[in-house]
Amino acid sequence: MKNKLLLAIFVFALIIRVWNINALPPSLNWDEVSHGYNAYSIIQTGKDEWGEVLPLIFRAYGDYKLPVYIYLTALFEYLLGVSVLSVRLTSILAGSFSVVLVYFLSLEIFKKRSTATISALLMAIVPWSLFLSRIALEANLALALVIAGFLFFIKGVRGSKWLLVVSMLFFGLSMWTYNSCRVFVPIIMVLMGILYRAELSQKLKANKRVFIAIAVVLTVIFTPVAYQMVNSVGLARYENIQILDSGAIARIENSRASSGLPSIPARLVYNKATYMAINIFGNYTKHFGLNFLFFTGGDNYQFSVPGQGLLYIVNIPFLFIGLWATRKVKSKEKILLLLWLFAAPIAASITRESPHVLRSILMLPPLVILIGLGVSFFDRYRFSTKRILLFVYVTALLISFADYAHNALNIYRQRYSQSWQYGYEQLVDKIRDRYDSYEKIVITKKYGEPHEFLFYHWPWSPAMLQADTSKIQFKQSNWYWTDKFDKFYFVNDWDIPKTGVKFVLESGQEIECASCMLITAGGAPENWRQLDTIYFLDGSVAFEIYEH
Amino acid sequence: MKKILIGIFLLAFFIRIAYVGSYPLSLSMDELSIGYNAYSISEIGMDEWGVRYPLVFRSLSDYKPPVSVYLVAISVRLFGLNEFSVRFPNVLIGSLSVLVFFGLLRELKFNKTISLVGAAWLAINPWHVFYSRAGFETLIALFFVIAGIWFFLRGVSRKSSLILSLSAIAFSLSVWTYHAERIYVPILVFILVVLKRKELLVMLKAQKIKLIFPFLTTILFAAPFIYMCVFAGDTTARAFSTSLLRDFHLTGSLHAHGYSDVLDMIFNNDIFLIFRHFLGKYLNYIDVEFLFKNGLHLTLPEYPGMGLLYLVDLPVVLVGVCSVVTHKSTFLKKITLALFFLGPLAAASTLDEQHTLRALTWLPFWGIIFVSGVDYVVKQRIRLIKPVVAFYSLALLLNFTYFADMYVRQFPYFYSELWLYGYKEASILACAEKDNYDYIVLTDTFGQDGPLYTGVPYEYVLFYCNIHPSEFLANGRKIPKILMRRPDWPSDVKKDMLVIAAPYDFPLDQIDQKQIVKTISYYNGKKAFIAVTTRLNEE
Repeated sequence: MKNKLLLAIFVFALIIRVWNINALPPSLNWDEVSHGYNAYSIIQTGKDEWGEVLPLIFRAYGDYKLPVYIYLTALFEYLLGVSVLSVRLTSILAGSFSVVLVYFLSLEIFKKRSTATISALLMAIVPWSLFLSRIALEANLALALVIAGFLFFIKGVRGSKWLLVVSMLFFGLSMWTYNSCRVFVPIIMVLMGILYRAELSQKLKANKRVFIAIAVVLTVIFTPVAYQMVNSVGLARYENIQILDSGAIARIENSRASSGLPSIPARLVYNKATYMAINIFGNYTKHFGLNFLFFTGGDNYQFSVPGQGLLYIVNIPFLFIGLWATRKVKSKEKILLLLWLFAAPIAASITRESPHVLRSILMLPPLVILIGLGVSFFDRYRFSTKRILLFVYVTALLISFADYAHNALNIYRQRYSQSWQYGYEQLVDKIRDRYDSYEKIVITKKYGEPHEFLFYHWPWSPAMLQADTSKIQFKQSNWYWTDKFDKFYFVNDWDIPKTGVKFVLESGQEIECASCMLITAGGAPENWRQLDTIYFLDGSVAFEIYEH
Repeated sequence: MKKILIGIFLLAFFIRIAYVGSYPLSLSMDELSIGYNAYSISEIGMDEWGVRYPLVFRSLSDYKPPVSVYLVAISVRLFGLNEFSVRFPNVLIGSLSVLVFFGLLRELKFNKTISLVGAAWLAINPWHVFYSRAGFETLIALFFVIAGIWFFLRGVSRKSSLILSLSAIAFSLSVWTYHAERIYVPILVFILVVLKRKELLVMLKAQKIKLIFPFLTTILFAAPFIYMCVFAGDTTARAFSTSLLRDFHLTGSLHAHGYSDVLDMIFNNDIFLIFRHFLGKYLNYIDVEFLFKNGLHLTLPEYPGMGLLYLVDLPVVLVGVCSVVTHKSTFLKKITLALFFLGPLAAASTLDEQHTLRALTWLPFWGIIFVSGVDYVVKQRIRLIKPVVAFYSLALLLNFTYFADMYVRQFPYFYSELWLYGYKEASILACAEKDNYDYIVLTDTFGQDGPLYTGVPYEYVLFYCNIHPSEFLANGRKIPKILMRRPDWPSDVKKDMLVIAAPYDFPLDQIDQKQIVKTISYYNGKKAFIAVTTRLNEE
C-alpha cells in the first residue's frame, strides 16, 4: 500500500522531468550537442568525432568527457533516433530513479516509511534535482550511481555480501561518469572502510570469493583511472578550472610586492600554499551557506534559475531539526550519511566558480534525507495534529514547486535563452536549405563551438567528417578549436571585416569569398545582402544571415 | 591580575593610538563632518547649520546621532582641530571597551584567567581595532552596549537598582550614538528582562521604590528619542532611505499597483517577498568566508584579504560553539543565542549586503563564543597544553603581523580613493592659492579609474583651512572664491582660475605642461587630482 505512494511519486517525478523537454531548457547547449553527436558518431562508425575507436575518454572540445553518459546516449539514439529527448533521456531517468533510491536509502538508515516518503518527494521536486534532470548532465547520472552504491553497500554490510560487489560496481561506474566522483568516491571508500572495518573483515574473511570479486572490480576500475590521471588527459579538465590560475598567481605576487614585510615573512604569508588552502577552505564552507542552498543557487545561469534556491525556503528549519535529531539515532549509517554530506563538496572546493551547483550535487541526497528526518519531528504530536502539520508542510512545498515551475517556464526560459546558445537549431535548418547555392559558408564563433551544433543538428555524417582531410582543427590553451570543415569556415566575431570579402581565420589562413553565405551575431561588412534573422526568446538578435 | 588587566588595556591603547593620525590615510567624509561639527560646537555652540546644541546633527543631511559629535568636541577643545583629535575618542573608548568586556565576562561566570583571555582577544581583534582607529560612531555605541549588558547583569545579581540605573544610562547612550542600536537595544533589553524576570520580580517586591530610578532614567533618555522618531520627519527619512525597502532588487518585484490576480497574490505576496528578501540578506551574514577570510574588505575581492576575526580564531570558535550548546548554564546558552540572532539584525534590514559597520553589534557574540572555547579547552586538562598554547601564540603572532601588513600597506594601496585621499592636499592648495586667483574650482567628482564617486569637498576646505564656523555661517554657508563643482573645461579656460580636478576632466593633450601647478596621487601612485591654472603665459 505504502509503495503505491512511492510509485506515484516516481511517476510524478518522471512526468515533471520529461514534460515539455524540448522547451525547457530552451535548447541544447554545447555540451549536450557534443554528447549527442559523439554518441551518434559511435552508432554510425564505432568511432567518436575525432576518429578514435570506442574511446574510454572523449576528447570533445579538449575538455575530455568521461564515457558512460555518451554510451548510454548512444543506446537511446539507436532506439529512438537523434532527438532532444534521447540526448536528455539518460539524465531524466537517472533523476527519476534517484527518487526511488533515496527512498530506500532513507528507509535503510532510519527505518521509517513516512520519513523516507518525504525525502523521496523532496528529491522529486527540489530544483537541484528537477532542473538538472532536464539537462543532459553527467553529474546527474553520477548522482544516481553514487546513491545506488551507498544503498547496496549498506544492504551488503547488513545482509547478502554479494551486494557489496554490486555496490563497488556502481561506485566504479560513477567514476567513469563524472569527474567530481574521481575525488569523492576514493575518499568516501576509505572512510567507509574505516567505519565498517569490523563488519567488512568479518564478512570478507568468511567468504573468499566475494573478497576476490571486490578486488577484481576495484582493480579493473581504478587502474585505468590512475593511468588517465598520470597521462594528463584525465587532468585536462582540471587545468581549466583550478584555483591557482595565472590571475591568482599575479594577485599573490601583487600582494607580496605591496607588502611592507621583510621578504621572508612576506613569503610566509603571501604564497601559493596559503592562498590555495584559504580559498579551498572558503569554497568548501560556501557550499553549506544557507544562501547558496535556499536563496540564490550558483552563479551559472545554465544550472540553476537565477534568484531561486536549490531546496525551497520552507525546508530551512527542517534541515536544522533533522541535523539535531541525528543525535538520538544510534547507528553507523547515520555517521556514514554525515561523512557523505561533509565529503561531498570537497571536489567542488578545489575549483574556481565555487559554490558550484553541478560539482557539489552529491550533497543533495544527505540533505533531503536529513530534511525528511526533520519533518518526522511532527510525529511527536497527536495523530490529528500531526496530519494537519504534515498537510500544511506538503501544501507549502507544492506551492513552492508551482512558483518555481511558473518562474522557470515563463520567465527564465525567455530571459536566459542566450545562455543556452539558443538559435542554432533554426540556423542549421536555414543553412541546410541553401547549402548548395554557395561556395563557402562563414559563421561567427561568438556563441562558441558552432561546428558542433552544425554536426549535431544537420546531422552531419560522421563517416564523411572523419574522411574530410581539408578540415582545420588545432590545439590552443588546452582547447581544440575548429576553423573549417567541408565548406564551413568559422571566424571570430572581431575578425569580421567592415568592408570587403576577405576573412582571416584564427589559425592564420585567409579566405576570399566569391559566393558566400555569412552568419553573424548582428551586422555585416558593407554591400552584403541580408537574407534572414534569428532571434533569442527575449526578442534580441541571435544571428543574422547574409550573402555575397 | 589587576596588573595583567592594566597591561592588556595598555596593549589595546597602544595598538589603537599608534600612528592614528596617518592610518587610515585620511579622514573619511563622516569623520570630517563629525570633526567640523564638533569644532563648531566647541567654538560657537552651534552646528554647521547654525542650530544651537542639536540633538540630531543634520551634517551631510544624514542626520547623525549626537554622542560622537559631543565627544569629539571635547577632544577638539583639548587637542585642536586635526586628524588626531577627531579619532582620539574612538581610540580611548575602544581601549576602555576591553575593560568593560572583561567585566561582562566575569559577570557571565567565566573565571578571571579566562576573562583576561577574552579581554586580550578584544584588544587585538581586527574588527574592533579597525573601527577603533577612525571616527566610527558604531564603535562607541558598542562600548555602551557592552557596558549596558554588564551593568544589567551586575545590577540584577547584586540586587542594586543604582547599577541598574547605570545600565539604563548606558543603553540609552548607545541608542543616541548609532542608528543600528535603535533596533538592536530595545530587543536586547526586552530579552534580558524576560530572561531575568524572576530576579527582577523579587527585587520589585523587596525594593519597590528604588526600582523606580532605572525606570525614570530610561524614560528620561528615551522620551526625546521617541519624540524624535514620531514627530521629526528627518530621522525617519534617514531610516527609510537606507532601509531594505529601497533596494531595487526588491522594489522591482513588489506590487505598487496591486496584484494581477489571486494566484499572483498567493505566490508573490508583498509581505512574503519582503520577508524573503530580508532573510536572504540576514543569512548572508552567516558566512565563514565573510567572517574569517575577507569580511573587513581591506583588499579587492580574490586578493589575499582580512576577515573580521583572525583565521586562527576559527578552531577555538568551533570548540566554543559546541561548548555553549552543551553548557550547563541555561542563561549563558540563551543570552549567547540571543546575541547571535540579534547581531546582524539591524544591518540586514538595510540596503547593503554584509555591512560590517552596522553589524558590529555582533562582535560580543563572537567574543563570548571564543572565550567559551578557551574555557572548554582549559577544563579538559590536556597534558600537552603548554606546547599547544605556545604553537597557538606563534600562529596568532603571524596572523597579527599579517593583519598589520594588510592594514598598513595593502589597504591603503587598494582603497585610498575610498578614503578620499588627496582631498586634504587639494583643499590646502585651494586655500593657499585662494587670494592669487579670481576663482578656484575644486571638483566633487573623483575615482582612480573614472568619475565613480562624488565627495563633499567643502567639508575638507572648512576643516583643513580652519575656517571659523561663525565666518562660514555669516557667509551663508558658502566659502568665498572656491567653487565646488566638476570643471567644464572649454568654458572655464578664459577666466583667471585654478582648476583642481581628476585628470580625465581635462583635455590633457591641449594643456601646456607649464599650466599644471601640482599633481596629487593616490597611495598606489595613480593620479588623483591635477591642479591646472588657466593663465596661459604667466611670465
